[in-house]
Amino acid sequence: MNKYEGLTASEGSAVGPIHIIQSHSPELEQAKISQEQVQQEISRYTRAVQDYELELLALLKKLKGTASEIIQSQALILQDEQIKAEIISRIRQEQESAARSVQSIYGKYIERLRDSASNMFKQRIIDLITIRDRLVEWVLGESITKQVPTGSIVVAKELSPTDVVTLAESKVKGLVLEKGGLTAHAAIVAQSLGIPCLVQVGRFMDYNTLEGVGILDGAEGVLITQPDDATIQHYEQIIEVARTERQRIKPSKAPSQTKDGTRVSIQANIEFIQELDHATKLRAEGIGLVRTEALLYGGITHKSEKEQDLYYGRLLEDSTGPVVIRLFDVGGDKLHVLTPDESNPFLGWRGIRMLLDEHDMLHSQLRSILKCAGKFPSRIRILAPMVTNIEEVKRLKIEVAKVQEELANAGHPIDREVPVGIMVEVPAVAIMADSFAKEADFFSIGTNDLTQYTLAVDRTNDQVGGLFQHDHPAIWLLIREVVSAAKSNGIEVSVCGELASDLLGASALIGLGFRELSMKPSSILKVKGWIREFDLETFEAFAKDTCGANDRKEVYEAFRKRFYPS
Amino acid sequence: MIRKKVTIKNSSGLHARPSAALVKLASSFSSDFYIHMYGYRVNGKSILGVMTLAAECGAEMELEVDGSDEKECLAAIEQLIEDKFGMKDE
Repeated sequence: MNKYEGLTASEGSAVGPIHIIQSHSPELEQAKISQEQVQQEISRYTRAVQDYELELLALLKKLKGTASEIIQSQALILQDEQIKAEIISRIRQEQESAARSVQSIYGKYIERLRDSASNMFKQRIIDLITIRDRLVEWVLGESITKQVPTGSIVVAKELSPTDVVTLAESKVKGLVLEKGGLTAHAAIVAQSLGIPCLVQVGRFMDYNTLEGVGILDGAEGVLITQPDDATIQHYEQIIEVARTERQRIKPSKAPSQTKDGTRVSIQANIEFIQELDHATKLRAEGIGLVRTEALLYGGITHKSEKEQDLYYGRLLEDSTGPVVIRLFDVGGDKLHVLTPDESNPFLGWRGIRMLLDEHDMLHSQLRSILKCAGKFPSRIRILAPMVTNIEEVKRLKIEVAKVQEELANAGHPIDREVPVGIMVEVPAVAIMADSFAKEADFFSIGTNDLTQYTLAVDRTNDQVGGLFQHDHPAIWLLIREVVSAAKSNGIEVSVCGELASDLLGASALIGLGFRELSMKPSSILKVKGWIREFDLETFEAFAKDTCGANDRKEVYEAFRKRFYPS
Repeated sequence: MIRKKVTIKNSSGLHARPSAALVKLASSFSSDFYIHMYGYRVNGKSILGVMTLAAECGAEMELEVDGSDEKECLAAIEQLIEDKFGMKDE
């Protein structure tokens, strides 16, 4: 029996046969593909480009100066419309596999550079070769994640978010990654799909012992290999108990309300269509936040509108209740190839600031959302990220009206009442909430960014990460202002940040008067069960404590006193 | 449509980073942008196209811009080339 320690990125335990996904040697299929496979190979190629771009984006975050410029130009080459078009038409016309088409087209450009006289340009050949080879790996890799047997525990160096989604579809039981952090994109996706996941496991992992059955222990954050029968039985029991417990809370037909009957609507935050199913099973009463940025990773400027139409359409069809769609929130930690190097990306060109400058991007997204809103009247709400000035809300509303007019003229049904709300994530907005409430149709508080901007802490910086306290009393005071402004102006207010998904946070929020909370699907049952245990009075008393606290410690003490009186 | 001849002035020529800067700038305009050089005509919004021209310092090329914002687009591109792509000479 061997144990490998790691970090638990997504809760839960699992027992199952270990399946290793190793990086692959690019062995290329020779044969021509059939006419039916053409579309499949094309989407295989576009997905590989997306995955590769995500990888480059992650890399960009760690790099500065020249190195980051080189990666940026790699990303530009990857997304070059001309080469994309050439590869797609090669697949279609020559009926060649995606991998081979990538080889041939990149090969053509490599040859052209080789012929050029200058040595300096010959050096660029290596860039193209790098891109070509890595892209081929991604194209072939995708098929590898598809061959994973149901019920396995997957061990891999690292996975892309798209890989995780594919693996979830093959119903794997758990993921064990050698690299990655707790906030890595793959980990977040695993969380929201409810797949147990460990990261940073096994710097000393011995692949020879990775045979047969393995145990992923999320409570301890370890992977156990070659376990004896007693250990397997022990874990199977634990998992069974956890499952029955989940089912016990699951009479989730029970309305989400406090013990004395105050209704609190619990909604889900989602990013990928595949997460919807999970959210629906958990009886989320709506989608409180749709992150649309993933649509952008596929293309430097925007995904084709058709793809957006499909995405929003499925979102609405497969869910019930309101769906709050946040406009592209790029910039800051979600670095985008288009954004220039900024010394302070979190204070830079992101969210609504970028959207109002990038007219085409904004209009194509609005067109797609508003077309969908016409088909599903009174369900869609539009949410603007990173607002700091009232002028921005006014300008956005003008753009919305313009697009609606265009669509109406083109004969599309229009929902004229689509609410346009704003994220409250900058302290300026919280402080002036009363004025913003007169312009915005609703508020959604993004507690992560609000915390970061209020406490001047970069949560991705390990040295100060500990100072990132979303339950700091200053945050409660700001949130209290926002709720009271929303109430006196008669607009709706909800929270979609991580604060809503922990028990302390949810308790104080309900006490402050929130009746809508949106969270990652994996927290829904936990929060719902908790709310039903206590009276509104208890939550309200605790909310008062938080606003009067001097520091976070006092907040915790108050929480213990109110909810765990001994 | 407007056309204009220009000369590349930075010492390293149109290699990866200047190409990226040029493509990024050109892509922010709606006009079509092509570069003529040694009888080739490449799409100026395609980084591979621009890079494979392998234009070195002193290379002459003709810019072709066509669209509603062609004047602004051409002016911006000329400025970028004039400024040696904002790079210190390496």
